[in-house]
Amino acid sequence: MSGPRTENTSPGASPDSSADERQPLALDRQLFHLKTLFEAARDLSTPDNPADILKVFLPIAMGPLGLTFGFGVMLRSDDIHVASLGLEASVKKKYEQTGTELVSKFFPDREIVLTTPRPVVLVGHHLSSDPNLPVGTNAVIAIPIDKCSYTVLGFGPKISDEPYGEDEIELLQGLASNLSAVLKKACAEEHIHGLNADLREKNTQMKEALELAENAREGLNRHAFQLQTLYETTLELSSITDPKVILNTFALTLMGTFSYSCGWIVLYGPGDADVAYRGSDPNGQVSLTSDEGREKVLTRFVELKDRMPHSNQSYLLEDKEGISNLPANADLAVLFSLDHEWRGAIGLGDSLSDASMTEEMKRLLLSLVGTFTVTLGNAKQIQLIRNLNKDLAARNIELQTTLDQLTSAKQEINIQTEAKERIIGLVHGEVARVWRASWLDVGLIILAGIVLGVLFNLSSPSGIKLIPQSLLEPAPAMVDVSKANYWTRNDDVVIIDARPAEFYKQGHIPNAMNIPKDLFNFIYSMKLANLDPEKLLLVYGRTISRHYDSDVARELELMGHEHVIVIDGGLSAWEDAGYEVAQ
Amino acid sequence: MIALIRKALTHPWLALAFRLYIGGLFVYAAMYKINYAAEFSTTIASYRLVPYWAVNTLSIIMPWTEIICGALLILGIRVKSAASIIAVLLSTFTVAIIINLFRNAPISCGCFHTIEDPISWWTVLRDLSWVAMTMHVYYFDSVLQTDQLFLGKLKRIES
Repeated sequence: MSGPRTENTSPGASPDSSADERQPLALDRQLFHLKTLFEAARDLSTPDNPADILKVFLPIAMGPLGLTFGFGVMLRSDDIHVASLGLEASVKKKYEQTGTELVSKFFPDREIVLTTPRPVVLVGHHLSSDPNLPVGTNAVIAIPIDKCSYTVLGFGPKISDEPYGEDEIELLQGLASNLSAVLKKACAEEHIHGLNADLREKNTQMKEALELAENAREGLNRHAFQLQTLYETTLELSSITDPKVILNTFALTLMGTFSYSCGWIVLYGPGDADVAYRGSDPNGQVSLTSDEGREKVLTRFVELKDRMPHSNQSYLLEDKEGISNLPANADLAVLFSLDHEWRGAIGLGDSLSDASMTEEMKRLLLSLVGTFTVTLGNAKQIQLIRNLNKDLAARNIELQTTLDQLTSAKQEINIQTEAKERIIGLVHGEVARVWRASWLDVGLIILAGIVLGVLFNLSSPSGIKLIPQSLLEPAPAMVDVSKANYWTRNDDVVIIDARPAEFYKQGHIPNAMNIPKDLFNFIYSMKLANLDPEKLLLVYGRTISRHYDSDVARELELMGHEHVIVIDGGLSAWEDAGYEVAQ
Repeated sequence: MIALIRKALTHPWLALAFRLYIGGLFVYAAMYKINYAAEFSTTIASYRLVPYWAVNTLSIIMPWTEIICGALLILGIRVKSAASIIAVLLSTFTVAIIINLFRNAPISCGCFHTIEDPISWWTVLRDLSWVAMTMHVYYFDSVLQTDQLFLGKLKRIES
């Protein structure tokens, strides 16, 4: 490669011209070049696209220099842009395919290239022989734009076939610098535009994402509300066991949840109808409970045919004609079934909101109705169980009463049986007792003897004392036989034998006088009437069965005798002491 | 012969005769004792076997027991029980007489009246014969008993 030409030549100037003639020419040339640079800068500022800039640049550079052809290859990432002027179309096509190799030749190490941002201008005839360049190429400009964008420009020989002058190379250098700046600016703007586009796109995506998130949040809120409503309704209904209270509570819940001012629920069973009505129609409840109302509701079931809800199922009526035929005012109606006997309908009317029912709301309504049917079914079962329990309790009471009556009857039978056995036993005992001696009979006879004897003795004027008198009176004065014997021999005493005469005759104390108790008054008046009361009287005569001595001594004391003494031991002690006994 | 004699001796009609005799005897004896309780108490005391505190009571109760037993024998009511009591009473009287015979007590029997002949072994024999009659009644008496008038009805109830 030869170096740049330093000799400044201009077209049409002869070598023999003088310095004075050449100086204005040089100034003109410089002015021309400056104008060229100015116009190049002005023209290059118009297009925005780097490819367009490249196209615009070629005539700008070739025109002032009078070049035969020019081309430019711009590599941007994987895109390649080729612009040519004065070359055949095949060359352009060739560079569109192999432009990357051309660029890679001038920028083998792109990182290093980036460290020299200024464009490189190569000028010389040696470039004509470069196989990568078109034949006749005299100048090449390599411009690194950024990390991914590179531009290689090639120019052919001048029309005058003269070599490039120094000022022309400087002009080319300046144009290259302008081009480099404009390309960098264009690439930067394009990059900025790309970034802006990306940013707008991302903003759009973000807005869409935000809208989706908002929709999702609203959806979640709706789901949360629905679940909360479902949970609260389930919780509230599960605590109620009275079916009528469940109907009222659920009607109010539906009216509050879906913003309706009128709501009713009717449940038809075999011969029975439960109704909850919340609305302004005073005849609403009556029309629902009437037979006509029942027929209207059940007709809707029949109309559904195979869609008819079965046990614990519900069906949302969306047929306006069908809804209008229901027995009470409703904009929205649901048919439900607890089992094959209990069916009912739910109606909501006079909406407080302008919004129509969404699919989600309908699903929520059906979910709530599902919970309601299960709860109502359970309550009905509980009510049925309670009724059965009541019946069972009543039957138990009846059974218990019957059992009590049976027990009482059994007890009566037992008592009668026992009484019969006792009577038979008594009869048997009596029959047996007739034929043998009985302790009972003996006791009864003796008891009768005692009773009759005592009663007769008490009532008889000749009755006697049950207890002998001597047992109750104080004991008389006693003296032992030795002293009594002493008194009989030394003192003036009267000895009285109180025993019966038969015993006296068998033996008695000498000089003793026999005065039995039974003959006391008679004998005393005959023998002792004139006796000195001060005289000592010794009395004897006592057996295990009678105290004769005490009885007679008491009689003597009653007669006024003050010294009456009983001989202790009587005649037997007297005999035992060895004293004389008279016969 | 022996069987005939045994049959005659154990015949219910003989027992009926003994029953009426003994029953009448006791009713008769009791009538006097009931009307003269004081004298009967003296009689009991003369035997010197009963404690002095029980003599009066016994003299009141015993005649009524005798008259009830005698009446039951005559009427044919509770014959065995009445005969048992009479047998015991007669046995007691007999023992008391025997004891006083051994004591040589100068007392009368006092069975029917206050003034009677003194007790003797004949008295004992008499009482023993009455005891035998009473035992005969106890074992062999079976006719003309008032109890039997109700017995048939009671038997029907029992069956």
